[in-house]
Amino acid sequence: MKSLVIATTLTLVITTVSTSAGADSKFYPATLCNAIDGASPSYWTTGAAFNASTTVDRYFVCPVVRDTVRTDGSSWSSLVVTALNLHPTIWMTCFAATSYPDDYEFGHVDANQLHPSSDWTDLSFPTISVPSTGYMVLNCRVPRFTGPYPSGLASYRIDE
Amino acid sequence: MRYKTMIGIVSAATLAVGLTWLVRQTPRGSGDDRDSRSGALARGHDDRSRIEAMQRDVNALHLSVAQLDRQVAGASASKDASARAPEPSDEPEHKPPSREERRQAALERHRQQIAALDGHMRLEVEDKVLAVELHGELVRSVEGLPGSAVGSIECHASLCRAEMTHADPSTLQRFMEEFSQTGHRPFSLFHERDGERLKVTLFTARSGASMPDLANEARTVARASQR
Repeated sequence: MKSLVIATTLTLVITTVSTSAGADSKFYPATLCNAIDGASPSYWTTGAAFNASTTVDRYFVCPVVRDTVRTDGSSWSSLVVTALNLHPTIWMTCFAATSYPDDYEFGHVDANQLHPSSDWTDLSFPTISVPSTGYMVLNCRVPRFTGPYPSGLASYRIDE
Repeated sequence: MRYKTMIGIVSAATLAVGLTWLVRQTPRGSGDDRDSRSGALARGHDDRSRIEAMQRDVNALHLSVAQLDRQVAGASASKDASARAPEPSDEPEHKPPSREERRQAALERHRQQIAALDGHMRLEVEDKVLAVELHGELVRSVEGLPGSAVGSIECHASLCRAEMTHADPSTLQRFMEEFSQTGHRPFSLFHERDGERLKVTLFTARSGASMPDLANEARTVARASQR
């Protein structure tokens, strides 16, 4: 009886641990992003967010939920944003940033770029450092609309 | 004591689930086979007896689980009561780190990450031509930004490092916008408040190259320091 109890307990524990040891992945639609100039991006029911302005490039700031604090002080295993840049000359730049809680003391920013006239592309960011109580954010400078289709973001995903 | 109780509960619950599953999996006579009806009835009687026995076991386990639940609740209540009235102890009190201690630890780690990228870069051959090229791009990017200045620059085969200062976060943001439109290089930038200004250490990859993964660099540096 005792060995049966131990065996079942072990089985249960192993099953629980192996289930929870998977990567902590989150997938977000770009409709979570906001424009920092206060103007609303053009949100689509697909979950994408576009810059419909024909005169200004817009910064879209997208929240990145940090619910796993890594022991190595790194931010993520992978962070990827799926972006579209249909402007013929302006590059789209996306920044993945981590900050100390007061947002000014110190921090780390990764930048990656998408060349003009690019179809939907995955832009990825190497791991950066993040203070233990810090936070993370993703923002992209989305070029203005020149037609026939605007530039924007579809979604982003993180593996912590 | 509580840990053993929890193991007991989990084991009992697992057994209960297992037995319930067994009960449900036990084959039941369909009654369609008229020729073997008497045999089926006999088997049905046996099955019913086994099911009733199993049901008794399950009920007993349910009672055990309920009893263990009550014991855990009692143990928790007594633990809460003891937590409210701690006994004096000779052991030193374990204090959580203060805000300043946490800040210093985080800043130290921040600087270690810079050192890790430095270590990666210095493994490569120096490239002075690339350093001159980058200097031009950086100077163009800070033109018109009050309080921004370019300091030392060092380039190697795939990675460059530049020291800069900026007046405030908004100026730094404007620099990043300008630099991303002039250089078209991936970059990684560490900023740290230095009095009223921001001290910036910028790492950027040669055009077409990608930035090294900082997690790998940190592990490499940690391994090297252990040797």
